[in-house]
Amino acid sequence: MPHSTAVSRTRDVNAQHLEVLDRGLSAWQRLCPNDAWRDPVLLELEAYLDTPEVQRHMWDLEAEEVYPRPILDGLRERGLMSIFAPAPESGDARVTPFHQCALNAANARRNTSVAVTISVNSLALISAYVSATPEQFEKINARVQAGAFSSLLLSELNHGSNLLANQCRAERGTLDEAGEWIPVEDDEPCTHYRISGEKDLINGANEHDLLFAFLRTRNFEGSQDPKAIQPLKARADFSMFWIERQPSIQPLPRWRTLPAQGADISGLDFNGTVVEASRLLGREHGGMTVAQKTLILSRGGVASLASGCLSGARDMAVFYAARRAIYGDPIHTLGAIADSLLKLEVLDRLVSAISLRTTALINAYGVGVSHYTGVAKVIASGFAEEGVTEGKKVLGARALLRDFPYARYMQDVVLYAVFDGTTHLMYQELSHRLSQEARRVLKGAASDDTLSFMREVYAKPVVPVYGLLSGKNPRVVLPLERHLELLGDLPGAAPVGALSGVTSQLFACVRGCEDNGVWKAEQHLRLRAAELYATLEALTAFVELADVDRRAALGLAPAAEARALDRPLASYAVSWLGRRVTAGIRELALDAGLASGWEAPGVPALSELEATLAEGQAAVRQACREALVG
Amino acid sequence: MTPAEEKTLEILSNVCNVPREKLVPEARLIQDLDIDSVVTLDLLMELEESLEIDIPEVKAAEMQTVGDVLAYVREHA
Repeated sequence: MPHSTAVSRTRDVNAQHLEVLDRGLSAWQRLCPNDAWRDPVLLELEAYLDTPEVQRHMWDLEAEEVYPRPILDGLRERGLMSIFAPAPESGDARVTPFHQCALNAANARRNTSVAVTISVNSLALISAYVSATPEQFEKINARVQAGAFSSLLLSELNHGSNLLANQCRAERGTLDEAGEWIPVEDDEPCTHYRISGEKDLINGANEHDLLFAFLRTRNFEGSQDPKAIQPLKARADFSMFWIERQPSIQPLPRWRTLPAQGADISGLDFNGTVVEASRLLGREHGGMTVAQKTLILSRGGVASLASGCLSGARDMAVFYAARRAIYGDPIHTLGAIADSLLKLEVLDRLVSAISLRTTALINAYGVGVSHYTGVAKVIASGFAEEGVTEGKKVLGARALLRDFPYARYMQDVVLYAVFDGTTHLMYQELSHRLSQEARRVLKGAASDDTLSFMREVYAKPVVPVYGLLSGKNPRVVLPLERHLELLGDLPGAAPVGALSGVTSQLFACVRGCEDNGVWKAEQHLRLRAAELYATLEALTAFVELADVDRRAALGLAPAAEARALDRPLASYAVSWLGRRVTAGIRELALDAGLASGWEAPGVPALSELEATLAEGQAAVRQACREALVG
Repeated sequence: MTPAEEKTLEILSNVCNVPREKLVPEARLIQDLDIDSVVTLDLLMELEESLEIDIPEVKAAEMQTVGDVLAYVREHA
């Protein structure tokens, strides 16, 4: 079939499918602890993307792997840029973590290329929020208000996630009388930098105008061997710059990607580009801190993208299962399909909840919540993949047809695992914090009133994102075991108290692994333990935001558009995923070779916790299925 | 030892997950305490926040041992 005919067929199928699809509110919107998502501009942007003409146009562009410029222009006309820079009529009311994440979730629910092309603005501008002077900030804001899109230039093809090995450089210098750049020594005044080298795998590298670049400004020689890099020393070799596109910056060819096929993932070659020293953001040689703080914040945004993607997949699976009746009744009445739909409903709420909780923590504590943004990024992307796979079981062969929209979610959802830090990198970080937490419990420091803490976090007014980044922020890590115990004491049917015991047993297992030496020796065990820890953190978010009773006990308004499924689903979720964690701990202990008796004293044994989590689940499952079909 | 130095050792112990008794002045941050780039950011942020000091990256880059960190804190806190 000729390509144009294939595209036409795609459009026909999508049009038929999308026009009857009543999306309703997403899990992210329903569970949001405040009204940020009801902002009129956000709603207008959503309504624009949902018009049939725009839907068809988006899918056509995607099928042809074309950058979605006309769609972006339509969004700009409707106030898109007021979410990234203060606007004359709204001020900075929309430049908040909640508005930016609401936008991410809404866009990713509809089209990943559009979503990631827009979300990179949040990512790139964080580096300016972190480090720009008031004068720089004003100039950047003016460009953003005028519609300029931004890109963050971190990656280099040969160095992947090892930023300290990056080679693209900015050399200090000045201009001679003829206006030619000449180098200066480190202790001499610098008026200009000369930039050379390539940045690659950059979102928006060919299309976006404001370039925020992480560049080497010291030790140009002697940094080629990754094994020789000393992290403390090498982090002072980089600076952050903001650069406008100019002729000496050559675009590199666009990559053809499996996910987000319309997005501009490409690179740039700096060929002796000379920029004024006023383009330096923050301190000279302070770029690593700016980059790391940028990633801390942006990881919360990745969770909102993953949430939107999964909600889009869930919309289609639910819609399909309620109307497909190949055996007489709709297939959602079949046990196996209902089971997949239940898991999909849990995962949709779970990923939304972890995104929302993290956004609330960012809104309250800025970069002090690196633990939670790391957890959110890694576990949201992982559970979003799992959810889309559950939906695939519902749609069967339809999920594999590129002429049917579900296939887009299949190919797009894998993107989030590699955004802003790979899964391995995230779990490596998390395993370090897990080890700290396992020891903190032993030191008896776990008596904080965590419920009051979270009540204050959720009640905090939504604030502009740049206000969160300029000062210093205390590092926030709640004692998870204690917090789950307190949540378990609140009214509610879900067996949340057992999760506190599960956390104690995970910490005991980690201490056992440390004591017998495998923790340090076996990275794969550390990463598996970190995944279990992240699952417990995700369940905590779920309980706070999606468990009807405990949500109320934390002082939050009921979820929008209450559904019969909400109450029994909380029990189902805690039981299902809580037992996944207990099984994981058991397996970890076996693989680590822990001697019997490693379990924590003074708390129920793993087998007792499993029994508590499983209690009454047959009735819960039945209630969930009835609510699902009803 | 000043209160700021005491606080520094407490932060090093918590962030690096190392018992206090191992934090001798000659202990090397990378080789002995296993500090990587992520831990470094946590450590710098925590020291700056708790002690209300500023630690530029170029100064942090010169710190090789626990003693170097304590000396910086002694001078600036």
